Amino acid sequence: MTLFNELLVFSTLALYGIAAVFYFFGQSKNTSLNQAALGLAIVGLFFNFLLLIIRTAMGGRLPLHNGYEFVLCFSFFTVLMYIIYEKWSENKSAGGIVMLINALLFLSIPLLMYNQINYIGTVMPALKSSWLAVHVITAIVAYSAFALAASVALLQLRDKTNKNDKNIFKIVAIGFATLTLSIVLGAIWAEQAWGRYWSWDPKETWALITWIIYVIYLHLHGRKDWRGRNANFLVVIGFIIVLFTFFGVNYLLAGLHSYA
Amino acid sequence: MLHFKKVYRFVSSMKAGLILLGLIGLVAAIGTAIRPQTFYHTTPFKILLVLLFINMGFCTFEQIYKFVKVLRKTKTPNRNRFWSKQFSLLILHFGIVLILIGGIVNAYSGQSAPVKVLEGETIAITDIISAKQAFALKVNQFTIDFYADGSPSQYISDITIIDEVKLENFSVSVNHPLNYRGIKAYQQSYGYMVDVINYDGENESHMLLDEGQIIGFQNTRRLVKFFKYIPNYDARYGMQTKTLRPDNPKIIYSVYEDEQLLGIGAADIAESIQIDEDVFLNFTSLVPYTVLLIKSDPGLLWAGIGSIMLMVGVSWFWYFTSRGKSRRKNKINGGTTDDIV
Ligand code: HEM
Repeated sequence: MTLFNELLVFSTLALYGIAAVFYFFGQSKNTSLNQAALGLAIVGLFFNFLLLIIRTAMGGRLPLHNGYEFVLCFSFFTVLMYIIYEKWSENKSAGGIVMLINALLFLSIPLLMYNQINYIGTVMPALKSSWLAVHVITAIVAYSAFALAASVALLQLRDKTNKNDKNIFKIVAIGFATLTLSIVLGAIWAEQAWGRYWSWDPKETWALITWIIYVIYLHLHGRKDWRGRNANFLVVIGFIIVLFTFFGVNYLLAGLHSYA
Repeated sequence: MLHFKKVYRFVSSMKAGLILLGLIGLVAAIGTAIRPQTFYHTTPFKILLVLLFINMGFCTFEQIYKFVKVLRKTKTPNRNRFWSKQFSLLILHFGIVLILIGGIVNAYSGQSAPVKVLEGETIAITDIISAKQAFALKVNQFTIDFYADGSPSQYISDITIIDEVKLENFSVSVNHPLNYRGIKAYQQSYGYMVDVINYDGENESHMLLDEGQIIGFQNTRRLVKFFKYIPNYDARYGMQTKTLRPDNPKIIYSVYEDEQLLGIGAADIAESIQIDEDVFLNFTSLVPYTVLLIKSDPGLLWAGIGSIMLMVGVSWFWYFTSRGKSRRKNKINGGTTDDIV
């Protein structure tokens, strides 16, 4: 099982990586390369799903408790959302960037959390809460949506267009709604567990900063002087802050949340 | 008068709000790098939050005002559309205002303090926080549940509330606070005191010692310090316990004479230890205590209602943005980026 798990992790990583390369060479035209890229992404998604199932079976609980499990969920939702987006928008141009970001994200497993692949710890009492479960799930869905939105925005910045502004807005709206739910649910959990719903710990604070960036985007994205370039820029900055909240805070700043 | 209107316009404007939000974000970010906890309680930071409250309060008031005005005027066809977007935004903004009110109320009249209660001890709530609710709380038992590997799975205080003549039993554990007549109690921490008997020659005396406390004797100048309780002692782990489960409980004590450390020992529970000629000491039993955080927050109700409004508003908002296929719309207006919803 141990070796199987590691093999599965590396296979998923390889599939995501190759999908990214194929998407880049496919140049977003309706080529067989693009078809192959989508196929690889789907197989990768399936492997990713298997890893989550294994994790759930091993721990007898939802896989929402440490860095490794977060990354598994994060990439799962990112790829899932991208595939849905590709079908819905009939637009493959963001595939390369999304899958590249996703592969890099997945790469953090062997680089930063290799020891967690086969290790299931016990859950400390403070983390045993259904509020916490929904808090984590909504945060991950939000982060995935922001990853997708940032990819599309980055592409627009490169191509100097704004024809996907509407799609970006819709994806950010998903992310913003789930991030808001996540922050509120997290506050409810904190109130139950520690007796304080907001304590300005670094993770909380950076989640709030992420939220503020997207609030600004939502208020300004439609304005003449903000649509296009500036709005896209905010979406990209927002995702960089998401990444910092996700990795940076755990590794650079200490706080209540740094038990991962 | 014109001046006043101008100022009011700016104070309640979206622009001012966004600038404030941006500032708060920036300052909060700097705060995570330096002195995290006290930073957010400094006056300048609080002023920013109060300004945000004022801005959003006025802004929401304006929105409600306009909302009611338009609602009165408009007839059916427009009305549905108006309800959808505008109303969800109203609820969302109003929710944030309520959350901020909750925070301010808490800052002015919220109280919270930890209290250490030994098993069997009773405390009066009014000794901890000033409250109208004059009930007492007795801790019957403190227990720790463990996983198979010895790590803790839950900390539980069994308590009895004594309210006038009425008695009621509760169990307070992590993630399951007590909420009794608006006062909340959280399982925050725990510890152990130790019951000691010492006999030096003819006298025998009893004492309850806390970690770090020192005990003296009549027939010797030596002093003994109850240094630490280790529930699962293992020499390889030194002064750290191997697990929290009491598989091999030891009491670590140190002996001093004239400020000189003579030695450190690990005693079993109820083991007789010789300290000096004819001087003996016995750590007869452990007395657990629980630390409960007692809290009253009159702002919690506001923040709670605000949170619900924010969650409902934002979900609703998302629902209205996600309706309809973008593709078709894109074709119609040629991929322009006018406001959606
Ligand atoms: C800080 C003070 C704020 C002010 C003065 C303000 C003001 C406004 C105004 C006037 C609108 C209507 C804009 C329009 O129709 O173009 C609006 C829309 C909106 N506000 Fe705020 N707002 C503030 C804070 C927030 C915050 C903190 C949130 C976060 C939940 C938020 C979320 C929204 C959303 C999602 C919209 C809809 C945007 C859209 O339709 O594209 N606002 N706000």
